[in-house]
Amino acid sequence: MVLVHEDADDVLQQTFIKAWKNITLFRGDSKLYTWLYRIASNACIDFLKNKKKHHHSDIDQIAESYLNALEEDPLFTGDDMEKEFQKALLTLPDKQRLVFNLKYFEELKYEEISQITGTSIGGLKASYHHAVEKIKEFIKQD
Amino acid sequence: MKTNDPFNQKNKQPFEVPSGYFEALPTKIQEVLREEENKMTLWDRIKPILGGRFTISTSVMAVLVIVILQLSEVTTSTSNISINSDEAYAYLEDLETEDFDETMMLDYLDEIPVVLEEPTEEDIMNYLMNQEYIENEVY
Repeated sequence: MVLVHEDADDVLQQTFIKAWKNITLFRGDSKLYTWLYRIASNACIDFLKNKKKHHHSDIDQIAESYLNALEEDPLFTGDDMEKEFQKALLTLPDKQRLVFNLKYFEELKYEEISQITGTSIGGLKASYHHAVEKIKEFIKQD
Repeated sequence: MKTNDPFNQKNKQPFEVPSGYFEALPTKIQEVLREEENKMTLWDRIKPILGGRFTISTSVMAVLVIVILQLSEVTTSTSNISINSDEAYAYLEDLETEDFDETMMLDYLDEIPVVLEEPTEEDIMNYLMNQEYIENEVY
């Protein structure tokens, strides 16, 4: 979700700190990793929102800054095609990108993503489908 | 085997983690938590004990207690007012007749219950005698 290591580090720290502070609220209704995914997802969305607000920038500007960082990032191991793929992902709205990442990269089940995001399975399927179509379209055009 | 279609590739994020990152992470998080703990106020420490669901009811209770305490102070201070007769006379002397509203006074008098008793024959005689006396005295 955040393509720069420093940002990922911030989000990960926030996730573990929130989990530590709220561990008493974990009721065990869901699996622990689902609960952690939920905290991490919210931390990601909040981080991106704050970044937009703090830098007075929109999605395109943030996407551009991430893409520029990718060009010189030694931690990025992908080839040109994968860079293009990341570029396509950055055109998606944050929540849709989150759903796509959880399904595609994390390979979670829709039931699990539903618990994490609080969205219905039908809504998630539609969101994932739209995301795939947008990415395909973006890659075709490029 | 990689193809040009990202959807056929192995679904792996193409990012590496700096070496030793996860080994250092717990210490970093503990440092942040320690720093936050040093900045914590008394309320921050009590809040998790009370739990989120009690926060609203606690606030409502606190407001109610403050209101009740303030009201009881007002009642107490009112009941403790004592005026001696000299002060009362001084106050009445200072009052101008303009301070009294005639309509208000009449309304007040109307509100006082007047009990009329049937006069006895003796009462009538006494009244007439006094009346005569007064008339004789004056004229």
